[in-house]
Amino acid sequence: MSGRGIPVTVVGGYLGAGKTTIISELLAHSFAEEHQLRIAVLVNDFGDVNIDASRIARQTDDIIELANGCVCCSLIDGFVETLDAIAAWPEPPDHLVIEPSGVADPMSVAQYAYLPGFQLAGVAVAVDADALPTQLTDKRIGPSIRRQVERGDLVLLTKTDLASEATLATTRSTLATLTDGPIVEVTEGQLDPAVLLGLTTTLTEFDATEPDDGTAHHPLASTLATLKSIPVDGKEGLQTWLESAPPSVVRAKGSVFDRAEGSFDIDLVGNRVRVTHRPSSREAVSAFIVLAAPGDVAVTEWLADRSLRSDEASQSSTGS
Amino acid sequence: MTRTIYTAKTIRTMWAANPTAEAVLVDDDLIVAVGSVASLQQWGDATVDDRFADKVIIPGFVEAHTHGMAGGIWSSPYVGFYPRSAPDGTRWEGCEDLDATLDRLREAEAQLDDPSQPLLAWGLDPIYLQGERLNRHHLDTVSEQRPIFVFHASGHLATVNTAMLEAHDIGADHPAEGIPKGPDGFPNGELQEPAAMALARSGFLGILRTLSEPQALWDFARIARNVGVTTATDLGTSPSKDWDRWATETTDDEYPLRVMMAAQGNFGASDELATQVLERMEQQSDRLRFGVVKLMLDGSIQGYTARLRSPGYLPQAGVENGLWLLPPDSVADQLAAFHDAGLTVHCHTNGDEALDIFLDAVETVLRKTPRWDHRHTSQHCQLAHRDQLRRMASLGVAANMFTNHLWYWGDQHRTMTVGEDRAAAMNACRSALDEGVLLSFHSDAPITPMGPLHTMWCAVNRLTPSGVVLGPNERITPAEALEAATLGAARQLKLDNEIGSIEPGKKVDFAILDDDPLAVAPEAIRDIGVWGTVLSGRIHKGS
Ligand SMILES: Nc1nc2c(ncn2[C@@H]2O[C@H](COP(=O)(O)OP(=O)(O)OP(=O)(O)O)[C@@H](O)[C@H]2O)c(=O)[nH]1
Ligand SMILES: [Mg+2]
Ligand SMILES: [Zn+2]
Repeated sequence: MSGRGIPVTVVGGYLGAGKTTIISELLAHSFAEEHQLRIAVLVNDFGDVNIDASRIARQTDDIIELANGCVCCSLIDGFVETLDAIAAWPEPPDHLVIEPSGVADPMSVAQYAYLPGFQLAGVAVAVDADALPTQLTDKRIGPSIRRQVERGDLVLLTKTDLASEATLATTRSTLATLTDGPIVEVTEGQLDPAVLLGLTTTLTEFDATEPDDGTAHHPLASTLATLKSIPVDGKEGLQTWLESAPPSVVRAKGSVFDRAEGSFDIDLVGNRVRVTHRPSSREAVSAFIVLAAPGDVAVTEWLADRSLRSDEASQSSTGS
Repeated sequence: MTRTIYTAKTIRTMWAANPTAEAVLVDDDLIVAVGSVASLQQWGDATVDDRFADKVIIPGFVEAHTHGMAGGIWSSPYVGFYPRSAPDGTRWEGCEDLDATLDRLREAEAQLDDPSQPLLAWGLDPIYLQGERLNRHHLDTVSEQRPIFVFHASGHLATVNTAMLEAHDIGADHPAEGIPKGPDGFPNGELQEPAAMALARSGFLGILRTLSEPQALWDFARIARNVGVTTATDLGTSPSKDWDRWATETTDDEYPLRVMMAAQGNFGASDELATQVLERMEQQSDRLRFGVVKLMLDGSIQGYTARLRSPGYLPQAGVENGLWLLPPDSVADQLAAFHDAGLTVHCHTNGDEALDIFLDAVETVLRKTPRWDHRHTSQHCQLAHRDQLRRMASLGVAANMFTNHLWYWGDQHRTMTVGEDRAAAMNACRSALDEGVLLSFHSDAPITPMGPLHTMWCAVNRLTPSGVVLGPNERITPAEALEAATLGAARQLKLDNEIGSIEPGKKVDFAILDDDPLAVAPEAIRDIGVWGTVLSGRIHKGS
């Protein structure tokens, strides 16, 4: 599933929303070590950056701090040079994570992932559950936070432990008006790394029967669905189907093979769906994972809807 | 070494006790005395040098806000609207319409041999051009084979031809943002923001490469010398990328400029950067100085990205407000790292709301760490209100105003950005002086051409290209303008003990002019010829 270039995930969000905490946890997570993933991190950081940077630096060698990042007024654009340097590493990283500044629009920063040697995996926006309602009423910063959420693929809702029930409810309903992408709760940076990286080796079957015990809006646990095959009705068919995924589907990644059409790479991060057709691919393998909230019936139905009509596709992949 | 007496038609010293003189006695790099040739005899033997006898000597101009890239950008042809002078002194006429732009590009194209070498150009500003906006089809008439990259004056956009799009696979279905399509569904050639511009690799990186050549730093100094500047700030430098290359070039005694390396403080670890600046201050040379840190809060007014107080931009702009480049809540923390280290922070604040945030931050850090004479400075400071200027004076914050805007975008500010009344109040030099704010002004080169006589002229006349005098009550006198362009800027860089006036004990830094800016008609200040400069006693003739 290497695709075309180093996948890039942008973890944005306003000042203090918890971006660095999330990235630090991601790096510290055994996931990365166990699987020897080399994750490079670009931090374009402010404020208490010293603490942030040293925290991260202890956890991986592949840290680059932008000494001179991207500014509209500064044309010597550190970003392009830095990305070029990373792409040219003798052993390029498996994934690049970028933490932009609190006022940057993470989706704009993500556009750098279209440079040669990279591909955009997704844009996650950290939102402080406790502070959001106040932040949005602040004329100085409200509009930029709103824009971050609107344009992002996925919301990482942090500090729910600090928010009162009432505040949390306000935050959730406000977010729902800003994005129809998934909202994933993240406490102290605890998050299934697959959400950000889209890679996993411990695929567990999606258990459609798991009861909704009220934990559904908890961190995703690690509910994964592995689909051996799905019907392939062209790139557009796949695209439409993925776009119709219920909001609790946070991540889907894999490839599906069709004897007639070749293979399709599939990548979904929140609202972002990308299907890449590789007609000449000889990798006659279908492997496809879905991360979603446990026990979400809508997900079951969404998947079932597809498998019902999957005979042809099953055959084509069975035959390979 | 014998001392030298330079005679001149007039010397404007900017030293209150002896404002004018006939001659100045120098000992190598330091000024000994000013007076008449006869009065200087009390200092003993000296050689009289009459080469400037028919010139006017003033303190070398100090430019506290320019960018080193103003030099390197001249490696490519200029296609801007207003005339400009290249580092070698060649005057480039402005390209006042699309045809002139394309003609200029054709000339440049004809001079390239290698057919695969991209044609790069800079300075285009569609805000001035009537009619159709430059697109790839226009550029295709210049060349269908050779990739072309026209870099806009704003630094946010580029326009490229079809060959450039094709060379880098920028097609109709390219997924990146910032690639607007034409009516045919194919990219129209415009690339918006650096991420999209960087897709046209050979063009974008081609421009960046020329900016980092040693030649670029020399061209920067030549431009400065040609307009009488002896000290200029490169506002926003990186320790790893910039400091050593500047150090290398400025060690050459022939290098005709003193440069203040203002460190870019918006990124990276603040405490660490403060330490790096302090370390460099210990070992700085005459021509390479440290001690200033730059912060940036907002964007530009004509780009609608400056942060404005209510009522914001004119409705036609269609924007709620501008963009922050630093989270407003983090400015005090960011400032504190440098303030506590004893450094001076120059903060880009174009809009009045951005200025409020900066002043709040200064007040916060001063409460925690009282410091006298910090000389933190608002850069641009274009929309400062009287209440803000009063507050600046109380807090000890200086104003480096962007008076060149009054000319270059004055009419656009009246009609497109903030409207007649607030345009008349922009770059309020009179109010700043009346409130006791330490004032200077700048070109922000390459945003506008470096040229202190022009920035002075703007502050004195406040004229726009359409002939409107923008806010006549905010005009200042030529004498006040000259002080702002010399001592004023020197004070903001905390170098006024060494430069900024022609006074015993200070550096032999002169601008050599054909005429006296305090004697010519105020409207003629910008037309005064500049012969060259003297920097720490070395004579540098302009080109
Ligand atoms: N209680 C609580 N605190 C959190 C949580 N996530 C982060 N924090 C704290 O919030 C503060 C800011 O977190 P960071 O991860 O540094 O936030 P950031 O978005 O990187 O901040 P900047 O880079 O300064 O914009 C730290 O003190 C974290 O420990 C959370 O889920 N719950
Ligand atoms: Mg952080
Ligand atoms: Zn500038």
